[in-house]
Parts: sequence; C-alpha cells; structure tokens
Amino acid sequence: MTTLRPFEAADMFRFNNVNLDPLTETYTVSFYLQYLGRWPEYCHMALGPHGRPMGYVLGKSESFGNQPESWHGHVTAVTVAPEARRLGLATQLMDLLEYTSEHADRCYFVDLFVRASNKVAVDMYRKLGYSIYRQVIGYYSGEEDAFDMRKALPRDVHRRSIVPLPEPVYPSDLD
Amino acid sequence: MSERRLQGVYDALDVGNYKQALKLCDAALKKGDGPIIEALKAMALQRTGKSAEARALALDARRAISSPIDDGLIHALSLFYRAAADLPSVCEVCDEAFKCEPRNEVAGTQLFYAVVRLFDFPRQQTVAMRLQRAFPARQRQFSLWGVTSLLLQARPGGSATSALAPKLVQLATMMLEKAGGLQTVAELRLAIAVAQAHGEVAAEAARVSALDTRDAALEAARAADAESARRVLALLAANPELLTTIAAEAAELEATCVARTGDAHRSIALRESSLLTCADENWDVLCRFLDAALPTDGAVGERASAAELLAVANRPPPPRAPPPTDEAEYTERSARALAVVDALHATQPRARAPRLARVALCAKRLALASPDGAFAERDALALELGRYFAAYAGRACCFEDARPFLASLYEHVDAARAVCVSVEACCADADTAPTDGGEAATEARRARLQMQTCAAQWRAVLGVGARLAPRERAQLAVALARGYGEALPLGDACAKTELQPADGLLLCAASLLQADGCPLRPLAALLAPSALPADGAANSAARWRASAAEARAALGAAMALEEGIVHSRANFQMRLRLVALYAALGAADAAREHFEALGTRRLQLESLQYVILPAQLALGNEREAASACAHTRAWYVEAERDVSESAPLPYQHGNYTQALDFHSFRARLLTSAWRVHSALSAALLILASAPTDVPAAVETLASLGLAARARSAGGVRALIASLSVNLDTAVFESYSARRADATMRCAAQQWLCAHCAYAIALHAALSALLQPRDAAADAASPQGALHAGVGADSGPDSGPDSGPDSGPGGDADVGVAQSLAAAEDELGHAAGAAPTRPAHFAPSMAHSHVGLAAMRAAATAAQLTHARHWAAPSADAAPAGVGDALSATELLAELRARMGAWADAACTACERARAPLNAGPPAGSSWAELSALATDGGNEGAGEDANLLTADRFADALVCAPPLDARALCSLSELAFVQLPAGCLLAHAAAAALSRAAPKPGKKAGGGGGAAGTGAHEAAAQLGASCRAAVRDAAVRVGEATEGLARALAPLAAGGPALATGGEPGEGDCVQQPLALHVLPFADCLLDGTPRSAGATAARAAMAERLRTSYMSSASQLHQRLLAIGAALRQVGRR
Repeated sequence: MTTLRPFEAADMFRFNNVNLDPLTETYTVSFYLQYLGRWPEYCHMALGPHGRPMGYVLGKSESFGNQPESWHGHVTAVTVAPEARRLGLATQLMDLLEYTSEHADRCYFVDLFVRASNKVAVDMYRKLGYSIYRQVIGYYSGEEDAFDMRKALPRDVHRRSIVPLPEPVYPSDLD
Repeated sequence: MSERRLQGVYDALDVGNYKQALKLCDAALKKGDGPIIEALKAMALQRTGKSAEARALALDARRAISSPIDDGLIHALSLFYRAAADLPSVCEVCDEAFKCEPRNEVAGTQLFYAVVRLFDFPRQQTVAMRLQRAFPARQRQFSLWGVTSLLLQARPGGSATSALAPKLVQLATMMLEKAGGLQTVAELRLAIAVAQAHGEVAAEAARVSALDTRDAALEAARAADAESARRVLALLAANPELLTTIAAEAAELEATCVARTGDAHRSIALRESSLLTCADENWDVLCRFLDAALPTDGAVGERASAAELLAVANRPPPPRAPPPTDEAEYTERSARALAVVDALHATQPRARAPRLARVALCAKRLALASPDGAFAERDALALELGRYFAAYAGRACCFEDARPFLASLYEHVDAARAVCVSVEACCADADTAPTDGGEAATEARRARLQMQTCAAQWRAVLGVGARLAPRERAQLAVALARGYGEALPLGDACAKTELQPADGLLLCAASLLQADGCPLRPLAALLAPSALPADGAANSAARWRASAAEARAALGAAMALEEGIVHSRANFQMRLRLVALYAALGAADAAREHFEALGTRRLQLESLQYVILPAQLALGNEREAASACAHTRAWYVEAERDVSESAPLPYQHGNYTQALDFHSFRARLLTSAWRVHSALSAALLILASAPTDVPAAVETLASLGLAARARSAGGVRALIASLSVNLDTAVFESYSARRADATMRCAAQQWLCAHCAYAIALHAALSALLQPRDAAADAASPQGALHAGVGADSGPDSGPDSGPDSGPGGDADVGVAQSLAAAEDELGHAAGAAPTRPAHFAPSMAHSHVGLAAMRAAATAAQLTHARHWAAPSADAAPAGVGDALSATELLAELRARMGAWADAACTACERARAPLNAGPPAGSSWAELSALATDGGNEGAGEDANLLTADRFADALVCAPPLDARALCSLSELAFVQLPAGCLLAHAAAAALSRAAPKPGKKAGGGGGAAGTGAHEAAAQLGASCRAAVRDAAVRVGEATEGLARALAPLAAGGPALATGGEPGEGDCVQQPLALHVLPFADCLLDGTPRSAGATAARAAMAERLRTSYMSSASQLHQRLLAIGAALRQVGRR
C-alpha cells in the first residue's frame, strides 16, 4: 500500500529511515542529481500512507560501446525501509524499472550488481527472474565480490544477454 | 602544441602532482607553447594556493581567445574558473568565444550551459533565443530551452515580478505552440508545467494585487486555476499516444484537473473508475478519492505534511468539491464511498489499502460528525482499527499504517481503551492458538512476536503508557524487556546487517522508561538560558527534578538499548535513541560514539546532525562542535557547487521539468535553517573562545549570503516549510511513541521557528553591533559584506550606500527593526501555536529568547546610532528612523530599561532554576549551601548586571564547596555557555553603539552642527564613556568569576574523588555522586539481575566506563573553556 512517485532532489533530505540501513549506500549530491537529470524516468520513490519514504529505486539505461544488443536497464539502487520489508515493495519497484526499460527505451535486458554475501538480496532477485551472469572479483572496494545478475526482456528473444560467463571477471574487465 | 605534452600536464593535475604540472607547463612555455598551457599552469598555481598569480595568468590566456576557437583553451579556462568557483568568469570566457565564432554551435551551447550554472534565468532565456535564431536546424531544442527558462522565471519563487510573470508564461505558451506537436513524455511534462503556471502566476498576481477584498482575490485565483486546469486537460486529450507509459499519472492528473474546473462529480467518477480498474493498490489515489467523495471543507487531514499545514496557513486552500450540504447527501456519498472501498476489497482481497481505507473513511466521518454524533463515529473508528489490527498485526507495517488514526484517539480515553481491548483480545487468541513443532512453529512465534510488538506500539500511540503511574510504567517496561530477552533466540539466524525481530519490544520498553512520555528530563535542558518568561512549562530548569528514580529510569533505558545494540548492531532507531539519551544525560562522548556508529555520510549532515550538534554545544565539546559546524558549512558549499555543475543535465538530456526540480533543490539549500544554525553556532563558538574576535565571527556569518534574506516573516515561513519535511523523518523517528502526529508536526514547527528566531535575532544583533564606521571604507570587509547582506531584501534603494550620508543607523536600522518584528512575530507564533509545548524543545525556545534579548539590545543600539543625526541634523540626510524622535537621555533610559528588563528576567529565571535544587538535596549539605549562595546572589542583583553578580557569587560558592556532581556541572554550563556570551554581547553592543554615537569633538557631520550639536556631542560622548567604563568593569568581574568557575571545575576535570566512589546508591546520593554510578544496579533490576549474555555484561561495563570518561571529558573541556573566557574578558576589561 504505497504511493509511487518520481524521485525528487529534495528526497535526499527525507530518506534517512531508508538509508541508515547498513547495506544501503548514501552517495553524493552530484551522484543523485546526475541520475535525476539524465534518467528521471528510472528513479522512483515509494511513500507510505503517512507520506514517509518506504523505499526507492534508482536506475538508468545504457549500452556497452557500440553493441546495439547491449542496450539495457541498470538497477543502481533498490532499497526498502526496515518497517516496509516483506510487503513486496522491492518487487513493485523492480517491476516499474523493468517496465520503463522495456517500453520507454526498448532495452534487451536489465542488470544489477549485488554483494555476493548478501544472500537475502540474491535470493530475492532470483525470485524476480534474475540469474547470475558473472561474478566480479573484488568489485566492492577490492574486499568483496559482486554478482552481476541479469534478466532478459522480451526484446532479447533468444535470451543471449543472460547466458552466464564461465569464469569470474575483474572490475577492469567490465565494459 | 603536442597532444602528448598536453596530456602529461592533465595527468599531473589529475593525480594532484601540481609541482610536476608546473614543471611541464614551464618547459612547454619555454618552447613557445601557447595560451592553453598558460591556462593549465594557472590551474596548477590555483591549486597550490597562488590565486593572484593564477588569475593573472588566466587573464593572459583569455586574451588569446580568437577565431578559430581553440576548444582546448576554452575547456581549460572553464575548468580553471569553475575550480575557483568563479562561474561568472566561465560565462565571460564562453561569451567571448561565441562572439568570435557566432556560427559555432558548440560554443553557443557551452555559453548556455555556463549561464545555466549561474541560475540566471533571464540571461539563459536570452542565450537560448540567440541559439534558436543562429541554428535553425536545432531550433526546436533551443526553443524548448527558452520555454524552460521562461518558466523558471515566471514560477512563484522565480526571478520575475508578479506583473511580468503572466506575460512570460504567455510567451512560453506561444513558443510551445510554434514548436509544433509534442514528441516525448518530457515535452508533455513541460507543456503541462507551463499550463499549470498560468494558474499559479495568475493566482499569485491576484493575491498581491489591490483587489478590494480577500474574497475577490480568492475568486480571481480560483478562476485562473480553473482555466489552467482546462489547458492541462486539453493537452492530455491531444496527446493520447504519449500517455501510455504514464497512464496512472495521467489518470490522476485528469481527475484533479476536472475537479479544479469545478466538476466535482465527474472527478469523483473518474477516480472511482481509476480505482476499480487499476490492478495495483495505490494509497494516494484511494485517499484522493475519499477526499473528493467526502471533503472536510478544507480541513487539513492527518496525512498532511508540515509543509502542507503551513501552506494552508499562508494561502487559501485550492478549490474542492463542496462538503455535503444535507444529511441525505452526506449519507449517500458516504455509502457510495464505502461501496467503492468494499468493491475494491472484493477484487483485491489480500491488499491492505481497502481495509485501511475503511479506517480512513471512519476518520473522515468522525471529522464531519456533529458533537453529538462524534461518539458513535469514534466507536466505529475504534472498531475498524481493531479489525485492521486483527488482519495485519503480524506485519511490521501495521503500526506505521495506522499511526495517524491511532494518534487521533489519543485524547479520547474511551475510544483508545476500546481499541486496546480489541488488541488484547487478538493477542490472547494468538497466544492460545495451537502450534506444531518445526518451521511452522517458529513462524508462528515470529508472527506472535510481531503482534506483541505492534500491540506495544499501538498502546504507546494511544497514550496508554503516558497515563500509567511511574511504577506501573516501569513494570510494563520490565515485562517488555523480559519479552525481548525471551524472543532473542528467534533472531539467531539473522545476519549482522539485519534487525532482530524483537527489537521493537525493546524500543517500546525504553520509551516507557522515559518519564511522562518524554525522552527524559534532560540535563541539557538545564543549560537553557535564564532569560525565560515566567512560564513554568517553558522553564527548562524547573523541569529538572533529578530524583534518583528518574535518573535511574533514563539510564536504565540507555542500558536496555545498549544490550539491544549488542544483538542488533544495524538498528539505527536504537542508536538514535541512545544518542538522544546520552546527550540529555550529559555524556557527550557516548552520544558521539553512537552517532558515529550510524555511519552517516556528508549528505546526511543536513538532515541528521541536529541529533548531536546541540548536545555538543551544550555540553562543552567545543572542538567537536566547531569541527561539525565546519564540516556542515563545507558541505553546503560543496552541495551548492554540485547543483550548479549538474544544472545543465536536464537541458542536455531533454528532461526539461527536472530543471525546475533542481532549482527548487537549490533554493532549499540556500534557505536551509540548519545552514543558518551551523553558521551561527560557528560564530558563537568563535565569540565564546575569543570574545573580542568579532571580525572572525562576522566572517562566518557573512558566508550565509542569501540565507540572510530569510529574515522577513514570509521568508522565515517559507524556510520553515521547506525544513519541516525533513523532520517528518528525523524528529518523528525519535518521538514515534508520543502524542498525535499533528501535535508533533506542530512541535517540529515550533522547533524550527525557535531556531529561526534565534538565527535571525543573533544575525540582527551582530550586524547592528558591527555596522562599519565608514561604509565606503569597509565595503570590502567582512563587516561590509554582512552589512550588504542585511540590506539585501530591503529593496533596490536600500543598500548600505544608497545615500550620501547613509552611515550607520540607516538601512541596517530598518533591517534590525524588521528583524525584530519578524522574530517576535515568529516567536509569538511558535509560542502560541500549541500550548502543549514538548519539553524537549524547551532549550531551543529558550535559546531564541536569548537571541531576542540580544536583538532587543541591538535594536536599541541601532536606535542610539541615530544620535549622530540628532546631533548633527541634515535636512537631506537624516533617516526617518525611530531614533529621530528620542533625545539622548531618552535613548539611555530606553537602553537601561531594556537591559534592566532582560536582567530582571534573567535573575528571576536564575532564582527559579535554583529553587528545585534547594529542595532536592538533604538540608545542610554542601550543595544546599551552594545553592543558597547562588540564589541569594541572583536576588540581590536585580539590576542590569544581575546575571554577572550571580555568576560572581556562584563562582565564589563553588570554590568553597567541592566536590562537584553532575548537577553542579550543569549549572556551571548554564552560566558559562549562555549567560556570559549573551551578557558580553549586550555590553559590546551598547559600547559600540555609543562610541559611534559620539563623534570626535570638532568634527562636523553632514554639514550640520552648532551649539545644540556640540551639546549633543558631549552628551553622547559622556554616555559612551560611562558605558565603556561599565563594560570594562563588568568584563573584569565576569572574567574573574569565570576563572573562579574554572578553578572550581578543576577537580572534576582531573577525575576527582566524586568519580571514584561507587556502591549502592540511596535516594539522596544522586546529588553527591555522578549519575553514571546509578546505572548498574538499576540495569540489573531491569533484567532480573541476571546478565543474559557475556555481551550484555560487557556492554554494561563499557557503558559505565563510557559515562565516566564522557563526564570527565566534558568537565575538562568546560574547564579549559572557562579559563579562556575568563582570561579574554579580563583582557577586555584592562583595555
């Protein structure tokens, strides 16, 4: 039971109850503004019945070099406040981002990076249809590996985008 | 020049090797490389601190801009000026380049982006139109840039006047039409924003116009709004293909606009249809439907944010469907709304929204009910709430969902009890439900635990805990803590980053332990100044009745949460609560440790630092407070730069309406109350550590720039409105278990009002104090900058140098007088808005009183400066200030009266502050003697120096009466942190004003003079001399008193005997021993005397040690601080 609306710049001053979670990163002002200036349709805030932030998603669309079939939506952050967990809110936010990727930008797939140790999140993404495409060694400050997880969108008819890589890669190998 | 050489310089700059960059640049210049190297060298010089040399070099490089343009040079120069935060020069560089090549599209767009970074909307509109004309191929894009620029000017808060704004919107509309059909969703959003702006600007114009009556203005505004809504509807109808990806948003917009055109019934039908056809549950749509079906005549509902509350207070409400006019219509609408909600429930049986909508509907019926019918409606609301609990108590969201509705029953004991009965019945059923073993049993236990937690949270908001006797409350807290301990195994499998399922129980237990539903009776509250009105509720010192039971309860709450943190390190609610507890207990270090453990980032300084900074300021952690203020101020600079740098993005990517959002965000930064607060705190810290270093303090304040404009009443309201939303999260977090949300919003508003008034008052006081003697000579000084800031919103002709003889006392007087009026207005508003002022806000309120006192003195001082004009009248230069009507004798009398009144208030408050201390300790103790001495001192000195006498006497008493305890420490703080700086400020203000009012003999002012003038000179000089003598005398005495305080504090600072004792405390021991020593026995009681884990035992030991070191640290810093103040004041006195 939420109200979904576009993420606003002033939300940076309201999301403490979401961002004080240890696994949620708080970025700089310029980082948020870059997303809001370039990809506002990928950034949404979920409010509770009382107007308090319950969670949000930040994302973007991009491609790798000049590969046309690499055009994809990317989940930069999806997070939910402790009191709003287990309500399907993350699913709702992810659905929204996938819808935008599919319909607004005609993407082939959606991808995201998640800490390899964050089993709860990895399991959730699996339930949402994501699979591990590759493991990135030392992605998080050289201390922890990441899983690059992907979900193919209808435009990727042959689901080529999600065929997993056999070997882990390093951050320097990323596109 | 070669790319390789250039890249070498860029690389050196990127890695911060400026020496290498300089070396490479010099080598390249010797080889004859051109201006681009000069620009890069300038950058390297800038970063090594050689700004003047760098600027000269950059200027040389700029002279080389010519056709064909060297893109690298323009880029390097732009980088240089942007790094130097000189955005106007970036514009000049780009402008020069574009002038050289007016057909160069890149140069043109770079010029546009440079102007966008300045937020200079008229100029960016001009540039956009130049680009539109110069580059027909991209005419559409540049035209939309122009439309956005026009919109930014015309919107309320933009740069255009209310008369010009409608014309700009009209122009924007024409440009949009000329650009042809809309092609993207972003363009549609821009067109909608322009259409809506028609209504906004017309409404604004109507409000400020000289219409005969408010009703006429309101009617005109509503007509404009309806017209604007019709424009939006036309846009939606004309662009169906663009609505597919924003269908829900478009449907909502359509329903809203239909309502604004006056067709309420169709709007309701649209919303109904939208609700029943949408698969997702959207609470906002549901609420709007209920609002439309059963409007409560403009009343602000529980869901309204503080900003909305303020908006309603400041502006007429938007047009709404009329409330039901008769019983039959009401019944029909109500039944229809219920039918829709039930239909929704039937289609979405698992959704929470329809069930909560039934609760909301009951709340609406209650709001519309007559006094006779309210009982029945309240019962119905209680019944629905009970049903909601039964359905969703097993989920964490149940409490947050229902909180506003629960809060509305706080004052209605019967209804609250009815809800509690339902809750208890549900819990009892759950307890008796059979459970199988294994996983299912664990899940059932989890659900039961969540239900227990939810029940405790509901009871708290319904006011059950607050209505219990202290002993019963403590028993309930112990029961909850026991439940927490029993439920801990359920969280064994939780990761360290997850919260324990039982955490909510412990938080409720901690809340219950806090007396009267308040966090506690804070020691920090005792640090409130003495200049309080005779208001028992606001007298924070009178609140402090440090019984051993209360101290133990507070520390018990901290202890319980410390144990909770051991098991749930990621629980930020516990940490925030602990920060507040320790801050109030005077354990600044402990508070800081928990704050640091939150892992906040710089971005969160704005929205979270309020938790810790006031405590650091109040408890003497000046170094950390100064550092925190410095970080905050640096962050604002950085954030403003980030917004500027990001400003072109919406234009570059065609997301035009995002430019409006960025502009609002920037305005929010510039008018941030916390920004003002941190700058003022920094200034006060400077004054406190070096009372004579006024220029440094002023320099700190001058950095506020635009924020200083928020001095007008309207500005302050806007500022408060923008900040209130912040507190929806932060403040409500801390007070979740207290009172109604609306009350808390009000409290948050008051908190902000008080801080704003405080900020305004001190700003005005300091600016009046520091008016430059010669405005022309000081124009470039920090004082001059501040002076300019003061006059900034007084109108175009009211700058500091607006007249030939507009010396001190001119515009600034007007500014001070306005500030005085605005601050008093705001403070009156804050004090009168809600009679139930939460205790926790008392210190802030009190600070504002000190600020006001200082301001009153400053205003008087500003009036005194008119003596100059009175003494040397000049027909064309005399300002029409209030001082013109007063003689010097009257001015002095006024000054004395004001200062005397302030001192009287201070004295009375001092006396009241000490009264409970007299009553607290056993008769005949050293503390009682000490208190008596201090109180006597306060009574004796009922004159302008009464507060100084009190300090003096108190210091003497302290020297004779060790050992100190925590309360003595607080009293020391009270004197040292509040009274002394305020007193000094007053004295300085008077002396400075009088010295300005007394020109040197023989000097003619303004061509006037003569016998009367000479007499006035002498009178003013005499006044000045006597005041200076008084200040010197006062400074010496305060200095001595302060050093006395410092001497008295020395044993505690060194960890004296009072800290070394321990043992089982008795009722009266609290006054003899530090509070920290009371915690362990009580904590053992709380947890049945049996530590549950090694972690808990360690936590207790750590807490005791933390408190001990924290108190010592505070004492030590106080000691140092007092010594410094004393020495500085004595220095002042000797001069």
